[in-house]
Amino acid sequence: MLADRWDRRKLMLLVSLAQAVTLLPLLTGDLVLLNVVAAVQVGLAALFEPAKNALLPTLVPREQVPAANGLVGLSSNLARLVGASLGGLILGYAGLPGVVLADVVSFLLAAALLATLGTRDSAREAGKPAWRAWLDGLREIRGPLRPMVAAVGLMAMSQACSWCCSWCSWPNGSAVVRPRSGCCAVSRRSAGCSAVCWSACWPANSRPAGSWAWRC
Amino acid sequence: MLARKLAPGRLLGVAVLSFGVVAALGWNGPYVTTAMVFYVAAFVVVGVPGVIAGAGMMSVLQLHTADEVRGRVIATFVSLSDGGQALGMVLAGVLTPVLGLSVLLNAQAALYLAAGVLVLATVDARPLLSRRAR
Repeated sequence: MLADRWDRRKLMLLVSLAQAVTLLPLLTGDLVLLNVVAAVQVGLAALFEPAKNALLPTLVPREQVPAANGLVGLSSNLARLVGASLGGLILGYAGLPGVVLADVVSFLLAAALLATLGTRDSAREAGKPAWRAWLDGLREIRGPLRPMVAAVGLMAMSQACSWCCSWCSWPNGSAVVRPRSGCCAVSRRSAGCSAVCWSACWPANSRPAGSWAWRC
Repeated sequence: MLARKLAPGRLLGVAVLSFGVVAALGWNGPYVTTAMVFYVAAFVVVGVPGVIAGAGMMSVLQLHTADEVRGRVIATFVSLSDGGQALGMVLAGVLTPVLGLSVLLNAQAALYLAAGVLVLATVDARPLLSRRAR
């Protein structure tokens, strides 16, 4: 909603700055604060992402929108890959404060880049109540977007199903995989799905008695 | 390059279908081979349609939505996706002990294939832009 009411570029810039500032409490090393900071960061990202995705079509010609989205997706995945490795290196050399400061700097750099973005995005519908504006948005889901509702739902369910089953069957943890028999028995107590997401692969009378795989 | 050649709806449909095919091959691979390299390759390869599907989906949403409401429409779809993921996790957790892991993993691939067919059958057949979109 805010992404449609405010200047999207300014919103993204402010959110980036807020993300940088709200990381600083991590320097205290307090575990409770860690959870609070994580929740705040997720909330801020929920503001940033719709604004980013709504702004993109105004920055490139229509025919280049898919290619631009591809580049954004690729750079995002690469950044995650490099960022995780870089975070490990920084943690090793400078400890947790080093990681936090590097993260703060990355958000500040993002804010600086947004500040240089040469686009103006005017505010809209300032006077409409929030719930009314939200309903207007729902009404826009029509035509080709209707089947997209089902498609996105199917993809999301499918994605989550594979996560759950993959976590449970991942060898690191507490899984036994017997691919030769075409089946496997898994359990992973650390995962949220540990109580229910495991599969019986052997007949009941040939289960490995006493194995951790059956003590889920 | 693909993004320039194919309409966003077609791009999304083809990518999601490809994802489903590679996933099905990977989950049923143990019947044919247990070579680790096959599974490493499958997980690498499946990333390609994954990225393309993401770009295609976002492009469809962006190009079929008017600028004034684009932010809230995209946010609504993200919420829908989050809700679908929560439902998928619960269903996978509940159904795996009943149906078995292999069935659920194949169901995962089947859901992707169904989503791909749905997109190819419906999204691409419509005009690219709605009247209010710019």
